[in-house]
Amino acid sequence: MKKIVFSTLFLLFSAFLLQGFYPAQGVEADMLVGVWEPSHGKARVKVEKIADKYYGKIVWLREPIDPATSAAKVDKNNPDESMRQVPLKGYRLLKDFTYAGEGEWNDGTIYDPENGNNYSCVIKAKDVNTLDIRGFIGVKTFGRTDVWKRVSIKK
Amino acid sequence: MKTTVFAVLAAFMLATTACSNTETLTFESEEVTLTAEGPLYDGSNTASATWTADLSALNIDPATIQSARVKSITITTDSPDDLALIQDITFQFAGKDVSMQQVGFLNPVPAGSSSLSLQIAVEQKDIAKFFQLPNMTWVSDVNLSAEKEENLQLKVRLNFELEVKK
Amino acid sequence: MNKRLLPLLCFSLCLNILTFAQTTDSTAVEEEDYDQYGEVDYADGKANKTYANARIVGTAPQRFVSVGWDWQAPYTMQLSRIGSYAKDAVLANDQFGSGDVVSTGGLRLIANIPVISRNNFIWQLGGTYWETGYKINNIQGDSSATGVMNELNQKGLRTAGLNTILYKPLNEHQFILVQASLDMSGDYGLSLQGQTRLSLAALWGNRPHDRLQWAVGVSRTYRVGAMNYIPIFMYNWTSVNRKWGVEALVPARGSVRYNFSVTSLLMAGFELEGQSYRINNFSDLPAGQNQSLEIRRGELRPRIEYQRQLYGFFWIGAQVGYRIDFIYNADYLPNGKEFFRGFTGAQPFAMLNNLGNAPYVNLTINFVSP
Repeated sequence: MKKIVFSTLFLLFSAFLLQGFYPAQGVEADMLVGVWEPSHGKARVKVEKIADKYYGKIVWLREPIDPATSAAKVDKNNPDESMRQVPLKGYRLLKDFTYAGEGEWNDGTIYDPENGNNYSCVIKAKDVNTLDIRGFIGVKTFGRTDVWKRVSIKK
Repeated sequence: MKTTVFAVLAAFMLATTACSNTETLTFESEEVTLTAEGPLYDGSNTASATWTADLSALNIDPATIQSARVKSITITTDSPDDLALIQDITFQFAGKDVSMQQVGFLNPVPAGSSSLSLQIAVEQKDIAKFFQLPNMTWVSDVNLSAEKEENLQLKVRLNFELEVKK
Repeated sequence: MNKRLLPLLCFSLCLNILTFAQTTDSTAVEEEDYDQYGEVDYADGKANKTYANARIVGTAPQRFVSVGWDWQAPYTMQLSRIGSYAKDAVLANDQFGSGDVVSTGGLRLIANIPVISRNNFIWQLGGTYWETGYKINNIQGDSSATGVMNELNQKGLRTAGLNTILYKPLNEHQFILVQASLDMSGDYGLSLQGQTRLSLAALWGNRPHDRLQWAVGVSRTYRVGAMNYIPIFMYNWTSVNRKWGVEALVPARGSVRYNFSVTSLLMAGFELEGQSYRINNFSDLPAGQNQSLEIRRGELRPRIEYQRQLYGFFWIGAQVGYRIDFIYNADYLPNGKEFFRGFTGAQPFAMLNNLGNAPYVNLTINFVSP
């Protein structure tokens, strides 16, 4: 039993070493600009370029109303109490990303309105329509990756 | 005993102030036009402009600014119809090598407003660093209640409080 | 050591980026935002696959690294002479040794590192190290009993282990959770002389919405002091207003939670701790025998815990409770090999021991993901 456990752990660790080893090819910096949807599908984020950096704001919420207040969702967990009525629709979630080459944007942050925390963040393009967005604390190890897909407005 | 303590404290504070090497100045920006390019749709839109602080009137070097705070943000538009379209609005600074700072918002925008005075953030970080850049970008995110074919232009004026080395 | 059965699925399971939008309630009327971004096409023609998040909103922050100290108030310890006893045997007074335990406790270290953490798979590795030192006065009575008590007094008990968790969401609602840990517990020092014990758990669960998550499974555990196979049930729930909640993994632990804010909370509940500790100087006896004398320690701890943010991602935890002795008997394990007694087995014990119950305090500083 113990051998099985150790063997399984070894195989999985090997898989971990191989992940993220193949950066997207031929990706341009402004490829990040556009509207993206996280994997949960309950929001959409528009990424824009402002003054040579990339920023993303929430432009759509599947559930824009807070059931606890019956009003449009606001940033109620912001550590600055004076900013807790800022609406989440239009909120700047992704900030200050710069293009580092090879399909990666870094030095940015992602904000979690759920708890009012800002996390360091790195974005990698898997392809021109798919992003790996990793928010982390301190080092990338202490983080989680989500997959975002590009969307376009239906004509 | 109490009188002695208070006297010592007061003397200490006077001495500290007299020896302080900074002074507080007020600085008002000129009116800056932020543009959101049309066509604009109902929902979230962004207006922005690059601004360079002209501190010549204060005769100070930006490098001597120890700290800075936004004290007020006033926004008008050429047409009252444009202002009536705005449901809520936020205001940020963006710049090279400085994290974006959200400094004000108004939610909801009162009906019938002829100008908007934004609610200012109590916690403001690194505003002085923006003054030390060649320029900064003012970014305003507006939620519109309806579509608009033409550009939306926001006329913005800011008041700052600067703590400057003497 | 406490083998938190599903220890602290950490940041990898916790970073609910953009879950602000997920304050869903199956009974709430969904109101979609019908502006221009409401109707979209996927650029590559393939919709994003949604997976069940490993956490729900409002739960206590998960700990990457925890440094803590545990202390129990004084109580009386009674150990029997080493022999062979049915579990309900009645022993004469002269077959016991006793002592006044002035203090019990020590350092508790936990680390949980996400190796892979993505929306569709999480693998976490962790390590734990717990010290339980004893200060025992007035040791008296039967010589083998007092001999074991002196070992505890001089060396204390410690447990060190490695653990791993695998979380695999199958779709938007269902998931599988597997956990394994290897621990070595005993009165060892740098020689690390002891037996490794394996604990396992496997659950299948459902996450109907962002405030509710439950799972059922089975576990091989030492929480009741000896190896046992028991069913387990996980239930996590948060109220609509995010103030109240339940976090349970029964029978290992269960708590009701009140969130003062996103930076502080109070929990009231219980935890079942347990492990099997080898007493080295009393193992391999009589001389030449290859066997392990192991204290089967199981404790029930009803408690209240306050957690709050200290600064940034550092939180403190302060727990006050009552340590109830569930079992402290000892077994001789031939060749150190574990056997299954369960709740009904009639295998004899090598020692019949009991500890007086006592209040306890537990303080921790934690590096967390909220």
